[in-house]
Amino acid sequence: MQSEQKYFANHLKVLRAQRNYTQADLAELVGVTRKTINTIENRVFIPSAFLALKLAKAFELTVEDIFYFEEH
Amino acid sequence: MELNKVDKLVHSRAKILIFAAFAFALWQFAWIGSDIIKGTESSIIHLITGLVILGSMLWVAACYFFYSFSKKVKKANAFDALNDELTHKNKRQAFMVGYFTLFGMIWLLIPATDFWDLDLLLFIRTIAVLAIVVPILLFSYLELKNDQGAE
Repeated sequence: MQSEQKYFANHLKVLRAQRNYTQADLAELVGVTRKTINTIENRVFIPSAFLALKLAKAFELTVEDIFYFEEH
Repeated sequence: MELNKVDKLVHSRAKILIFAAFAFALWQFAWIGSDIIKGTESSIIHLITGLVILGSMLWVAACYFFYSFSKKVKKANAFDALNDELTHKNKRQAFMVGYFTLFGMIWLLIPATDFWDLDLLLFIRTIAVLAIVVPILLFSYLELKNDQGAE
């Protein structure tokens, strides 16, 4: 049996585009660097619950609306 | 992509750290070199003394750059953004590598003393310098890499 691996994925890029935010705009809203936003979008960096909640608040969504598990 | 104020500070911090690591390494390694050839009549003593002086002057310049950088951070009110989660992660990774560099080299040095008659003080100084320089360079590298798809 092949086991399924779960990856931490997100809709950050799409949500940002819908609201016309640049990475720098979003970074400023949540108090991090633009690169932090970029690395989250690229799945290089997994944010803490604290930052995930801040991002959810910035988009007025829940954490689950932004972050999800992708199965391969 | 146009760099915003915080981005510029991130790049500036990495460059200052690379410069400081280079200055510190030059200063300390040249100093170690001068201690190695002390007592001999080597003609390169003047060159090495010059490198010690150059390294120490560059280190003073690096300290000034740090001071100037901290003023810019204060002015931009960017302290929290510059010390965000990704930065902490990069710091932890760099310190871990520094720790294992120190640890690994000391554990290599111990058996090496059984085979060669080494000047332990010089080797310990060399390892101590590497344990400072390696994490600084790694942190700077981590701060500059992984920025594909930047907007």
